[in-house]
Amino acid sequence: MREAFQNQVAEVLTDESRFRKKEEDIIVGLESELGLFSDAKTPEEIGAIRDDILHSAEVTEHTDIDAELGVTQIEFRTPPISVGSGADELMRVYKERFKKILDVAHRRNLSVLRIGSNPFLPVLETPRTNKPKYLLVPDFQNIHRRKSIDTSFGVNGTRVEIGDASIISLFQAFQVNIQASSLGDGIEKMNRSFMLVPLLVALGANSRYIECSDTGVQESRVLAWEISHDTRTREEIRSGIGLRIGLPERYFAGPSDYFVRVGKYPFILSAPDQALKVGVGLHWLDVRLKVVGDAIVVELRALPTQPTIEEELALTFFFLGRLKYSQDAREELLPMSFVSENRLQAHLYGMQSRLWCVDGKGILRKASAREVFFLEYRRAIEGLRTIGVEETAQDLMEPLERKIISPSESLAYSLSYKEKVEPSFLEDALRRSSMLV
Amino acid sequence: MNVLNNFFSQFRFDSARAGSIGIERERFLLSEEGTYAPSSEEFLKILDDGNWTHELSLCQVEDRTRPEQSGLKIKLNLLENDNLGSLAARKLHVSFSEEEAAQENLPLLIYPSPRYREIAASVSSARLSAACRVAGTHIHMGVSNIEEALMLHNALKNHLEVLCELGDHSNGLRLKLYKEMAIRWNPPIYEGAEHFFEIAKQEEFSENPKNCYHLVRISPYGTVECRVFGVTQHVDEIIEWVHTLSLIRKEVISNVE
Repeated sequence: MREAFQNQVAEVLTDESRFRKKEEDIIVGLESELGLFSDAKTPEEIGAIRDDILHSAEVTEHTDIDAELGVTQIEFRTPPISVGSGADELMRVYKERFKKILDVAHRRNLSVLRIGSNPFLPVLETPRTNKPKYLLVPDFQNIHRRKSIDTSFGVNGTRVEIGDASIISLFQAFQVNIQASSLGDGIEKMNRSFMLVPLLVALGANSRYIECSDTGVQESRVLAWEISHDTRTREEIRSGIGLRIGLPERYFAGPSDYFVRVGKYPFILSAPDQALKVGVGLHWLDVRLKVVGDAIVVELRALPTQPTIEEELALTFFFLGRLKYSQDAREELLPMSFVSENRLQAHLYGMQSRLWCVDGKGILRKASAREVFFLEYRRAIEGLRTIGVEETAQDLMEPLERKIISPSESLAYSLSYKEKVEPSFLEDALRRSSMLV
Repeated sequence: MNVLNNFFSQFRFDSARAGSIGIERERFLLSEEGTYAPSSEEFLKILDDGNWTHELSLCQVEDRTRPEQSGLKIKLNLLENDNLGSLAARKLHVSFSEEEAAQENLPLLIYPSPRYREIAASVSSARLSAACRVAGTHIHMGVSNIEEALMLHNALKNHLEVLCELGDHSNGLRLKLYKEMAIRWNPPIYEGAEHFFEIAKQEEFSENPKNCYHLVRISPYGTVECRVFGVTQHVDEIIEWVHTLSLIRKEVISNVE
């Protein structure tokens, strides 16, 4: 696999010109993962209905949908859509496709969970979709997980045991894919996005509950992923080797640097003709670069599924505008150690974080997430202006302006911060907050 | 009996902090030219942060984390200290060294505090040099009471060799220097509270438990402190040490239950 991977990378690097696209084309595709739910059915029964939905003509004709690792999960996608001439088409398609899935689920007496972690499923040996990659990859992680790692998860009194890589079956995210104008542009977009992720996570944190327990972690999804998938040896940790999840140790110097990192980790699966795709597919960074046909795509993966489609679109356009601003202004990158602190702050505390930022006077300082948001919001608007979608996007980003707390904090508040919650209470709270529809 | 009570009253055990972890991380300062920088006073003045403090050597500083139960919060504390420290270091044109055993040319300059002056005056120059040349990462584990402290202390003593190896980045030089500095470095197995007191009297730390320099010691903060680990720039490695100690603690607790 490694040799095939290196050959395929060499092909990409030697023929960079085929990935060149017009810089002014801003092409975006969205993916969203949802959980299907019914309190009257087992996960396996829901899984059977999910498979039936995936094969039904009602959705397959118009909606690009697929299964995910968890048997109750479903993912839908938009095609790549240009937002250079306006945000309307992306909004329309995204909303339509979600509505389609929602209708089909409701017709089968299922509800849809719009949350980053499905709080109703067990972590240990939770049922997985019956596809080779969904069986082999978590098993590999479970076998090779370092024995000394502490897999009891949570920062409050309650701890949840997360020592099973199948925990990913519980997690839902939405991903923003942006087409890069070249390989170099892709690396630049990826590096800049790492720096932007913490504030986005603070705004969108939405996975605090696991197994009906309050972990106290506003966005637990990626942190639990990091712990359950830590297969590094002590020697590797001592040498400073990072995980293939979350943040890299440093920014990438260029495309080769990125692909070298991807190729260092075990491939687990054997599909030599797909080696590049497999390597990148198992490189679960907050942001990653993908080769899709003749396009270089930068994928933002750090954000959990939001309570509403509108919130996902708001975060998407905030990200697009802020990234554009960063590229146009040739903004200096925040040192990775500061990004690392910001990221952990955001995951633990959401909008209650204190984040490092470079203020309007160019001074590096810490401020509340809300203060940082308004600082960055102005920069995002400037970026959106150059894309040409300022007016629509400003309306779209309105939900963010009102955001004082993260969705997860709002849910915890409605559950009176109880450490362990009855499933029926949790279900009610999720319905009230539109996280279960 | 009063003497015994007085001795134990110096330890602030707290059941609310049982199992919590606090870390002290010592590091040398280097000038832009790569020489040792005797700049801890200026560094601390610029930083002005309660989580940072001085050490015996004027070339060394130390940061401390708050007691926390969760590895994630400990990691965040370490990152916060690191970033604040690196900003102050940048202003002063110094950086943190990765060394856990300084070279022999380390300037023998002592931080101007009465306690350090007293120490410097009371030991030979060879021991003083050894004391100044070591830097380490000390991990404190909160315990509820003296019984728990003794059990955890003894369990760590039983794992001492493995822990020393795990934390060594200098082919044993740091520990060699530590042993030159602290002749009584080897923690004994305490047979009970009274035995602990007897050892404290014999080794002259009954009046001030901070004068115990065993590689594992029961500290007046109500913790068992493990001083075997050296210096690493990787926060994940410190967290791995924490996990290793927590596993030992878990074993101790489960044996009691």
